[in-house]
Amino acid sequence: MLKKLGLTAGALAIAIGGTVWFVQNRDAQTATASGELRVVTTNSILEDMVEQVGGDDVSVYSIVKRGTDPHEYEPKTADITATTEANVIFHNGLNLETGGNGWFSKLTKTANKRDNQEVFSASRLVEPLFLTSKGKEDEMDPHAWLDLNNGIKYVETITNVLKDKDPEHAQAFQKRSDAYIAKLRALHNEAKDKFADVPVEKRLLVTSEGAFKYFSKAYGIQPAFIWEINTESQGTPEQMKQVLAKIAASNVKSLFVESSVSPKSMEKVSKETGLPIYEKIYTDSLAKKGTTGDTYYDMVKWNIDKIHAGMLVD
Amino acid sequence: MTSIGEFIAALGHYNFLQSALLASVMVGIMSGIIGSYIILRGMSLMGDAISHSVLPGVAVAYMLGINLLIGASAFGVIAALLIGFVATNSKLKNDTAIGIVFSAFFALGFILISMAESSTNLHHILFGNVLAVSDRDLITTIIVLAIVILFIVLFFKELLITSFDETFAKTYGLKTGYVHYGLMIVLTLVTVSALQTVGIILIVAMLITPAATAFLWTNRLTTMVVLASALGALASTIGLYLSYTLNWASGPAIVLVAALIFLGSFIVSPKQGFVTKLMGVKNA
Amino acid sequence: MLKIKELTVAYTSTPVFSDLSVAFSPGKITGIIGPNGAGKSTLIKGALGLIRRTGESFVDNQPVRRVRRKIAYVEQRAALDLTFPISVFEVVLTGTYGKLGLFKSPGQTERNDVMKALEQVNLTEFRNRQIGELSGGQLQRVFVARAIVQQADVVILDEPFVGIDMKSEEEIMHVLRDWRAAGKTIIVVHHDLNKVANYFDDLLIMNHGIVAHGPVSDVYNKVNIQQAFSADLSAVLFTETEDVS
Repeated sequence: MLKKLGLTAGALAIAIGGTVWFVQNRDAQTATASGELRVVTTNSILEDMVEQVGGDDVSVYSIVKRGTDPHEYEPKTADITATTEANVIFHNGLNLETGGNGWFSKLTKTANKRDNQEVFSASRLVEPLFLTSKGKEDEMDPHAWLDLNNGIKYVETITNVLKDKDPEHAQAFQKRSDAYIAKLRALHNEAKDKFADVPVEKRLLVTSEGAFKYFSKAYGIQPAFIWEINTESQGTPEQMKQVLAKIAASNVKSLFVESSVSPKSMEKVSKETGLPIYEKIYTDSLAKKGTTGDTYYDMVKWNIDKIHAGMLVD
Repeated sequence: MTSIGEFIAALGHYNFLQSALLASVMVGIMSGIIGSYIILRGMSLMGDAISHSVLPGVAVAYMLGINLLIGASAFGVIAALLIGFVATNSKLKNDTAIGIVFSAFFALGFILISMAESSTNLHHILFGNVLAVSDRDLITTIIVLAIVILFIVLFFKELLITSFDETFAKTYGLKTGYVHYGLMIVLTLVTVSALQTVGIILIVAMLITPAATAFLWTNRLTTMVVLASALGALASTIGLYLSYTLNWASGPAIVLVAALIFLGSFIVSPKQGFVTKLMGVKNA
Repeated sequence: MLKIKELTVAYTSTPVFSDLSVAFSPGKITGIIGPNGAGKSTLIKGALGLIRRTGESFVDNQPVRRVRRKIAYVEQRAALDLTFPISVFEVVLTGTYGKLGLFKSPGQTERNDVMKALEQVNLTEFRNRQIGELSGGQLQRVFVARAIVQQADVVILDEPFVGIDMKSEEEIMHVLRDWRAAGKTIIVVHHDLNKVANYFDDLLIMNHGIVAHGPVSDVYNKVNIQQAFSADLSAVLFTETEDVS
């Protein structure tokens, strides 16, 4: 027994030692592919912005596919390999990709990518708004991009990073960026004017997630929501009570539901209040390619048009 | 097949894939070893129970910020003790006692986890996420593997006799209770390690399937244990390859491969006799 | 010498037997007989401390739990898992575990003891077979071989002759008689009344307690069998003209 034990213990010690050595001495993960600048984005909104600025000079891989919620996500093999091979990684920041105990930071750690070296927050220049729920007042609301002014700031940040990483194409990037920002700015001003003709007591935007703080602040309307942010419970009795109260206190005639959440809770609200769900709108994700709302510009325009029309309903 | 070549190339290239493979293989080996004893002792339900019962331990470990292994193991052991207590002190049969205790623990764990964590982490715990294995996890896993192997080598004959003929063991003075609880503790450690690769829900598959497959091929215990661990490692490797190539969830892929290997063995093994019986009929 | 003192065993509120005391002498083969449910196996399991009981049992005046190595117990075959991946040789080898203790592995000495025991029961050619491949008689001989290897002072066999062939039965009796000659205490829980006088020196007749205990010739008679079993059975076994056999 002693001999058997000794041999076994010896072999095991070697195995443990070997593992420790292996783990500490293998090369730190680096990207090895070459060619055009490889960019990875967390969601489809950032993906579109990067494509608008980068054009054919970059190749973009987006992790969270359209229609899926980027708050909580389970990275697959393809996501991890893409992230490992990326030169630049954009995330929204502002508490968006932090569900699941920080799925995005875990991913970048696995891929050995560091903040401000390969990993950049697109919302760096944005002035954050915070959650209003009790006990959560120091958590940031991530949905800054729904206000076009912030979207412009995103594009500026993206442009600067791309220029820095790929100076050869800096001029091309800047040119595309300028044209794109001009387009966004025009839409932004149009939106500000548009909501002025909705009576005040109808300016309540009812959605499932409280994603429209920035949007509401920019365009002069009031947000109401069932749950404040996707990482918390969705559709609890308490939440339902408060949103029904807000609807009752106003004269709103339309409800809205987002493309990337389950419509069940809003359907319940619709049944309770007798108000119809006017239209599907987009928050955390663009529409599927080939349908209306499949670029950032189109998505925000869709939101503005539909919300405005829904509010004017009698 | 080029995709196998691609997988091997990717292994050389991506650290996360290397870690995933090492972790899965280690878990496959330790599950095969302990699983052999679990199925021979007719404790497959117990294996499932312990794996579900560690959930509150995981929740408590998160909440108190202590080591996952310790928190989970504590609850695994408590569950084993509770099951033993209920079974011996009531007229209820063993599987009833097991069912009651483990589902209660699991429910408690679910509530606690929902309070402490968001749902994605629960998804990890329930189904595993071997692509996110950290260096520290890897080292912890191989230490658990070492403990398992040492336990089996040190107590080989005690495990053998208590699995085969517990009454006889008691008559010559062996403290069979200690062997049982020792095995439960090691089972708990294996369960918690296997959380990484296949998650709570599928751990029982890794305990049972490779061992059952091995049972179909041999009449010797030592061979069975070694074969079970080899099959566990094989299923893990092939499962990970499929996960990489087809973008499947890794835990379920591993379990499916193990089940297919079992199916094949079930049809072909001489011990089972399907093919030999068929061939016998043909020759008649 | 095995002494049982005031043993009471109850599975439910009614005890199987109460305050039972009996002693088994060395150098003798004692048979225990009685109807089904009489408490025969229960007596043994209680004496060995395998089930809940009150009362104590002693081997050579020491409590059983301290001298377990002095007792070899050959349990009923039906209780075992015959699909277990273990060979005849390995089963007999487990008989050496008690002597080896916790951290020693069986060595050449133990393996030699096993081979000798297998020869004694004529199973040498079967030593590598998985136990599920054996007949009832062969399997019983395996467990007797295990008891040989244990080298105990007291050997208890629980219904060893159920469902086995004549040859195996003879071979096992041969071993029992060798043990008797060596001065061991041998106890056999017997499942029927076949060959009682032929096999046993002493007899313990039970029916929820002791009906009679003593040398076979004294105890195996019409009155006691009637008391333990039934009048009809007793009449059949003990007709005036036939010999008791």
